Amino acid sequence: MGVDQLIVVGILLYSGVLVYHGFRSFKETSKSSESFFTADRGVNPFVLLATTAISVFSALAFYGAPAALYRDGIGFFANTGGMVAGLLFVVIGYRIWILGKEYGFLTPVDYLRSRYDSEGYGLLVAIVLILFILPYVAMQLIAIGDAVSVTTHGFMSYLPAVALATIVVSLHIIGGGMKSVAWMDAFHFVLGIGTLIVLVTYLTLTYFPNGGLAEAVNIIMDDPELAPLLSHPGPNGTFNWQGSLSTVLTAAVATVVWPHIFMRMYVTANKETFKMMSWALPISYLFVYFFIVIIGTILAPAILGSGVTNTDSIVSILSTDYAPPIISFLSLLCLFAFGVSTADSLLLSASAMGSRDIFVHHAFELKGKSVDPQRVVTFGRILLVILMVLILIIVASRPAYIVDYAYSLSSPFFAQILPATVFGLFWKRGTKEAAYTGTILGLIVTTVFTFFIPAPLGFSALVWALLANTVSYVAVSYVTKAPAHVIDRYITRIDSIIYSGTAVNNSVDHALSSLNERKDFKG
Amino acid sequence: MSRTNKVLFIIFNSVYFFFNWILIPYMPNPLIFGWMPLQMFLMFSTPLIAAFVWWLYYHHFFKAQTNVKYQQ
Repeated sequence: MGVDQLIVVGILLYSGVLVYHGFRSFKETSKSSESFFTADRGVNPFVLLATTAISVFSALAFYGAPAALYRDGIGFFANTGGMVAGLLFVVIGYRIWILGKEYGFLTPVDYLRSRYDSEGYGLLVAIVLILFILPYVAMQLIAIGDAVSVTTHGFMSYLPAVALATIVVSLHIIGGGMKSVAWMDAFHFVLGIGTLIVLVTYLTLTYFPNGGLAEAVNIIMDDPELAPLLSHPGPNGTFNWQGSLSTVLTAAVATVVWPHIFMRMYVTANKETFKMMSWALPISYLFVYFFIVIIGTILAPAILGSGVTNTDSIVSILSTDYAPPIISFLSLLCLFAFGVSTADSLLLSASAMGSRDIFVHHAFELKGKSVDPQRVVTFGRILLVILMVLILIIVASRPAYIVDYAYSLSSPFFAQILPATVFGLFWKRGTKEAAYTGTILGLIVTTVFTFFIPAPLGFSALVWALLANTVSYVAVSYVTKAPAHVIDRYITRIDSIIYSGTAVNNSVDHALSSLNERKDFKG
Repeated sequence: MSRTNKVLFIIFNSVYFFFNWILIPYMPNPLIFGWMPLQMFLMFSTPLIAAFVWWLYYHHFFKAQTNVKYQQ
C-alpha cells in the first residue's frame, strides 16, 4: 500500500471516529433542546476553553494566516486584536450566561429578540446569520477537500473528499449536538496545537541545524526583499496604524458575537469558568498564533525565499514538499481540526436558530401551542440534514457568488449584531428602532464598501460599517423610547443580580410581604 | 469591586489596547534573543501581561459574586 492510500485510510478512520463519537450520545442529547444545543449548560472549563479557541480558528486560518503573514509580515498578528476576545468573553459573556440561566436563552436570536421586544428584529437577525453561516461552512469544507486532493496527489479527488467531509461533519452534529461538538473540539484543539509544534520543530531542526530560528532570521535579514516581513508596516506597507486597527476590528473584536461563539457563553457550567476564560482564552490564542507567526514570517520565507506566487499554498507546500509523509498527514489532520471545529459549531448554531427561533417559535410558541422538547431536537436534526444537502450542492458546484462574494460578507455580517448586543446588555436607552437602524445600516455599508466603493482613509469596510451601526444606534436611541418592563427585565434585574443580589432579596421580601398581608395567615 | 479598581482596570485596558493596536507599528525593532524582532516580542508578551491583569481583576470580581448561584 502506497503513502497516498495510507493517508486515505487514515482519513477514513478519523471520519469513522468522528461519526461514532457523535452518535455515542444520541439518546442522551435527544431529551431536550437544552441538552442538544447547549449540552445541558454544563461544559467544563477546559472543554469550553478548547471549543471556543479552536472554533474561532477556521481551516482558512491554518492556510490563510501563514499566507497573509508571508505576504504582509508580522503586522498581520493584529489579527488577534491583542487577544481582546478573552476580555470580551467575560464582559459580555457573564451577562449573557445569567440571561440564559434566568430566561432559558440558547441562541443570539433568543436574546436579541427578547431584549428589543421585537419578533421582526429577531427574524431579521436569524435569517442573516443562517444565510451567511452556509458560505462560511462551505469554505471550510472546500479547503479540506482541496487539501485532501493535493496531499494524496489526486488519489482521493476533490469531490469525494469534500462530500465525505460534509457528511461526516453533519452526522457528527446530528448524533450528539453540542456535547459531541465541544468534546471533539477539545481533541481538535490538542491535535491542532500538537501538529503546529511538530511542523515548526521539524522544519527548524531539518533546515536550520546550525542555529535554529536565529539562522532562519539571519537568512531573511540578509535578503532586502524578505527583511521587511519582520517589521511594520511590512513589505506592502499594509500595517501602519490604520491597517493594524482595521485588522483588529475586522478579525478580532467581533468574533465574540459570531453565532457559534455567542452560544459558547450559554453552555458554561458555572461562573468560575468565566474567571478562567479571562486569562486562559488569550493565552490559548497566543499559543496557537505563536506557531502560525513563526511559520508565516520566519520558516516559510527562509525556506521558500520570496518567489512563491501562490502564497495561499505555503503551508501545503511546506508540509508536502519539504516534510515526510507523516508530517503531511499530520498537517492534513490539523486542517481537519481547524476546519471541522468551525464548521460543526456554525452548523449547530444554524440548526438552533432555524429550528427554535424560526420554526418552533413562529409555528408553535407565537400561536400559543406547546411543543414537546424532544420534538424540538428532532426539528433541529431534520434541519441539519437539509443544511447538509444544501452545503453538498454548494461545495460540489462551487458557485462564484457564494465562494467569492457571500463568503467575504460572512464575518462582517456576523459582526453587525455587536453594537445591538453590547448596548442591549449595558445601556438602558437602547431601543428596537435603534437595533433595526444600526444593524441594517451596518449591513448596507459593509456591502457597499466591499463590492462597489473602496473604503476610505485606509480603513476596512467593517470598520466603517461598525461605526455607522454604532452612531446610528445611539442617535436613534435618543429619539425613541425603550419599554420600561423590557429594561427592568434584561438590564436592571441583571444589574441587581450581579452587583447586590437584591433581586433575590426582593423576591424574598415580596414573598414575606404577601404572606403577611394574607388575612387567613396566622403567623 | 471598588470604584477605584474599576477605574484603574478601564485605564489599564485603554492604555494596553492603544499600545497594542496603534503604537506597536511605530516602536523600534532591534533583534532580541538573536532572532526575535522587538515588535514581534511586544506582540507576544504584552497579551501575557494583559491576561495576568484580567485574571487579577476577575478573580476579585467573582469572589464577590457569592449571591449568583445556579443549579446546573
